[in-house]
Amino acid sequence: MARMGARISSTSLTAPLTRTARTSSAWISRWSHGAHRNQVALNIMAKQRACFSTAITTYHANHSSTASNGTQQPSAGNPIDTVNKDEIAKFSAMSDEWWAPQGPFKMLHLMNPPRIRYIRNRLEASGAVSRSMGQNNDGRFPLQGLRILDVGCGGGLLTEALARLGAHVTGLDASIENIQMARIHAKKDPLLNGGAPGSLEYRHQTAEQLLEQGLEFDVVCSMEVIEHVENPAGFLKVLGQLLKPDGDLILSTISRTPFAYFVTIFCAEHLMRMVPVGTHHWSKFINPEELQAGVQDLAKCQVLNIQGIGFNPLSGQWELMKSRDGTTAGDTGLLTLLGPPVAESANYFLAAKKISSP
Amino acid sequence: MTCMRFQSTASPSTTKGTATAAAPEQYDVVIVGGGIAGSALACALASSKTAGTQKIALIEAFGLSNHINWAPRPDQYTNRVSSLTPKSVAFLKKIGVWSELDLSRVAACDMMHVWDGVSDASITFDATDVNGMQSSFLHHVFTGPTAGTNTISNEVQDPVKGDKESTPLAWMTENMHVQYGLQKQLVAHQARGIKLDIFEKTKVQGITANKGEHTEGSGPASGAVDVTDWPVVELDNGKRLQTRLLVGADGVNSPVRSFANIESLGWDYSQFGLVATLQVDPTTSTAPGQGKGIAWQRFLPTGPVAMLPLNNGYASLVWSTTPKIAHDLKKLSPRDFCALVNASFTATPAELEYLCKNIGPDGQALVDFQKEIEWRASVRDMEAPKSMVHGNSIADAKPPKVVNVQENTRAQFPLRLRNSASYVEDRVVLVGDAAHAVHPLAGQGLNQGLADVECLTRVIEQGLLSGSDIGNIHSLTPYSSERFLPNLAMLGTVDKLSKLYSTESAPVVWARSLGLTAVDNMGPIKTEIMRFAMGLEDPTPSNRA
Repeated sequence: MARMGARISSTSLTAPLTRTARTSSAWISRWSHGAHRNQVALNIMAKQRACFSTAITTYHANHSSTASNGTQQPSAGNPIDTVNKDEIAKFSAMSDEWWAPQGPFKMLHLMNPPRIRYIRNRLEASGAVSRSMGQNNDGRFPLQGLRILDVGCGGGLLTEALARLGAHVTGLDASIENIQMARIHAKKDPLLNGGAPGSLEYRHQTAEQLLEQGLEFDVVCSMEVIEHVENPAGFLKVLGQLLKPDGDLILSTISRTPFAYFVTIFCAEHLMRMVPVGTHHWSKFINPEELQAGVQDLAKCQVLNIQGIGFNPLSGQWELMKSRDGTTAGDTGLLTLLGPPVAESANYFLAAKKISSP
Repeated sequence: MTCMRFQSTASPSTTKGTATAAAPEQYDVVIVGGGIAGSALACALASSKTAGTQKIALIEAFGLSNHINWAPRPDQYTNRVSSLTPKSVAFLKKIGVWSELDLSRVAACDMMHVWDGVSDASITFDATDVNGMQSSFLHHVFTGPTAGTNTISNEVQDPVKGDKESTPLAWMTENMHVQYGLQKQLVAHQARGIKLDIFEKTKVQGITANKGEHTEGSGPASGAVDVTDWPVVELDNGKRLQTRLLVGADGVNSPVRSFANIESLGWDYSQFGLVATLQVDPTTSTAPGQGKGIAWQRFLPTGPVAMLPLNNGYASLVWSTTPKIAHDLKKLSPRDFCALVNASFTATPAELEYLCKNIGPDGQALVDFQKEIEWRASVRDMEAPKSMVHGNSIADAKPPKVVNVQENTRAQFPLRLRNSASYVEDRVVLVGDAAHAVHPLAGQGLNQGLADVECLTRVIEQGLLSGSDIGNIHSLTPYSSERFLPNLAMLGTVDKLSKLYSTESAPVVWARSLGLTAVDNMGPIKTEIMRFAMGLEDPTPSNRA
């Protein structure tokens, strides 16, 4: 643990991280136990089920590599047996709703533009966009030439957008219903079917299976997935392994704060019914310092940016807030007035770059 | 004033019978309606680096290319004139249309004098009150410090004089003139290779969408692209256009709105607007600031009458009044008509009512209007001390005398208020009069339409930049949420003004006059009102990346 703390404090993000050494040990132990505790969750909705396969993946990953980083990794029992057929059936019903305009995933649809703004902004900052062919066209296909993996793609909301911007995107999901829905929907746009430089493929596979096939990606995204995963530590490790050297890792999740409980569970689920009740479990939310430590130590990536995002009820839009270095990724909404720590007290993004030489 | 609820009755034809027709051609954006809003949208999209990559179609039932040959004579002005706010002018500049215009046919309106026909209480808006203010308190409340109005202020300097200090309140020009600029730009965009197809003199025969009806190839295993949920527009030339996004810029009775099953709510005012091109004698105006463009508006119980400045001693009349009076005024001889227009700005409401009652069934004057008016004016002048009550200079000023009315420019149209229940539907969006119609007393209808177009263009650009399907309702929602409330606020404000001034009830007149005089004397509040009316008070960030 002492070694880990020392390494974390040498990151580029110095100021806000004084608590990191303490919390990093806390999150490892919490996740280790959480894996068992949360298997019995009954109210798990689509997005969570999408993550079960990654949990399975990480379960195997942990068993094969616990010794290597000296951290006690969770031994998660066998989560496969607990993913029962009822859950799959419930999920099949939900999969039709992914693209319904006023359906349960409306908030995710609204989140897509700021997600893309954030991803574009971070890939430009890290140099990935200029390494791609994107700079040679009229600006419509900035991600042209990049191979991107979207883990936990659901109905393909983010996946399609990335492909329209020119990337070769692989969408990965544990639910066959999700993948089928995503495949059907991708057929609805000529731009995704040879009408533009980007391409799109969906796989009903686990991240570990991709790893076994020797696949590597320029960019790995996993949006609002890790807070639903059974074993986040192992999950991060696999994501890191799927990245090429210097590849970009982009995650988003929710902080484990009372405020996050209030907005994402009390308001969004129970009060406003904007998302289905049971979508989120507060105990699985992950604080920025914890995620940062995990990305650093397990995914072997250097964290470059953490930035909050919030829903502005006045504009009806999600808006990016100030990141730790004071930038806003070009956003000008009301919420850009807010910076850390308030900005990171609920939903936030994290961008990291794989360390090329370990 | 009746309150009605309008529901679409037009039922679009179905494609079932024409199954043998050729496969429709695919577009990204199809705009139905080539009026100013529709043409401006085509122009804005075509001139945008991002949106200019899209395949666009513009459909208009009447001619469009004929506008390019518009050759106006300096002594003739068409009767449909718009007052363009600084915000609208900034937008027209941005899309390259303003530079196409003949600025000698654009009149700056530097001052606006509005008064109550019953009480003579008045308010004067002077452009110099607003200029120099970079942004206002209200603006900061709504937008925060990041999105200032600096960009707007820089863009809206006087296009004629290039003089930043004297930004007029508005610019007056003929709608035909704006169309001329738009069509010239559209042709230029086509010439430089923008994928823009213009179907003029072409009617839309039906709009269909096979929602829920899957053709072969919709299954997950099949490889065919499935765009069955894209609307198909059938034209009377046999062509069928299938589009990712269908834009209704097709006016108050929008067929696109009917297709999308969007309700239009509102009512008809029991008023007609009478427009005409007037010739005035500028030397007869007693207003200070000679050479300044002044708009005159007087609220009468039958509706407001407004005279808007044009160049070369011409002016444009918009007289909102009862259907009968509008009908009668149209038939009057030019001489009698001018006499009554002059009376509408000077005579008391009772006198005016008497005069209008004396128009014969064939438009003949039953009394000598000229003599009646002169006699009554002389009587009124004897009660001179009245003017001491409100002694500031322009409050007593008289508009210039109307000396002639241009032939064939008198026209009337019904006044109504409409707002669509929604501006967006999956793959459908409404702009301009298709989305909302407003009483013309504030001259805001066209400006609202252009603001719609500017916003929609930005939303489409942002949709493309974020990899969205621009026809998806989630991509379009920001347009709706940005435009619906401002349009509704404008509709409501103008409607309340119209109602407030349609009465002669003494307490109401007293209260409204007190309010008007008070506002006239409260600089900051007046400035806020002017900024709102000029489109400078835009509580939405327009410079988002």
